[in-house]
Amino acid sequence: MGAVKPPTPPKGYVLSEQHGIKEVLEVEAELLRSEGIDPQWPGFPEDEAGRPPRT
Amino acid sequence: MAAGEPERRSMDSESLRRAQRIVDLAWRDLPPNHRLLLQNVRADSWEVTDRPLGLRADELLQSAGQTQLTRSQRAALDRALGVWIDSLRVILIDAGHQELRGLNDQAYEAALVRVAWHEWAHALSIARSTSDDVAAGARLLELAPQGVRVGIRSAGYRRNEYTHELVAETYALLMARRRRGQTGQPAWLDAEIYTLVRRVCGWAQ
Repeated sequence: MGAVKPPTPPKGYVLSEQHGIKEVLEVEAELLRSEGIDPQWPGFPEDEAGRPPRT
Repeated sequence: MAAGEPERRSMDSESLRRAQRIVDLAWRDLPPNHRLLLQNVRADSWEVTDRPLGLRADELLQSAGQTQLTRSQRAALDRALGVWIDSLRVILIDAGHQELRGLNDQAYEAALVRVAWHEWAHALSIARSTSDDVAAGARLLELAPQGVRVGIRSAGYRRNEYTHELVAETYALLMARRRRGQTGQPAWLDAEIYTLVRRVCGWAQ
């Protein structure tokens, strides 16, 4: 009896070398800017206490 | 680890706790009906780790008595920033992924939140998309904004994964708008994709 082949696992959220996370965020920024929205990450209002001091 | 790859360093405990808090805040930022949908399909558990996801997923599968990953499957999953493991009903997020290193604090937060939003929507898409939706993936991808289309295509997904990736990416973009106070259908989003995301993710904003 042959070995049972494992089910195909999920691929997960992967990015290519040509289109990494910086490119993903840039695409998001361009789409937001196209609507006149400031693309800067606003953070979460309730996060002030947890935010480490910027160095 | 493949030959030639640099050894991966662990995150310090404070940075990992910070990443876990960011994802907790991203969850709380979801519209309440989206959280309810995720709870109803049992996709409301997650783990933020600083370990490669193939390795971590394999450990969890083994603990649950499920079929473990092959070496090549594990290596492939190690490349992922996040993953929804349907058989375990858990989302894993790699907060120490190479892609995230070197980002400034603001970009790191934005990227980590985006991964979380992507994975929650991905889980909803797996649970709620129809077979017709999945079959339409290649056609729908043609309707997506160019940058989104390029990102999904270049990552090497199979055609039957296009719909789920498109829903996940679109949802993350809509949440990014919502975080900045904007709702409704954006001009850059095709109506058919918007309708799909509304139906699959319960998007009503």
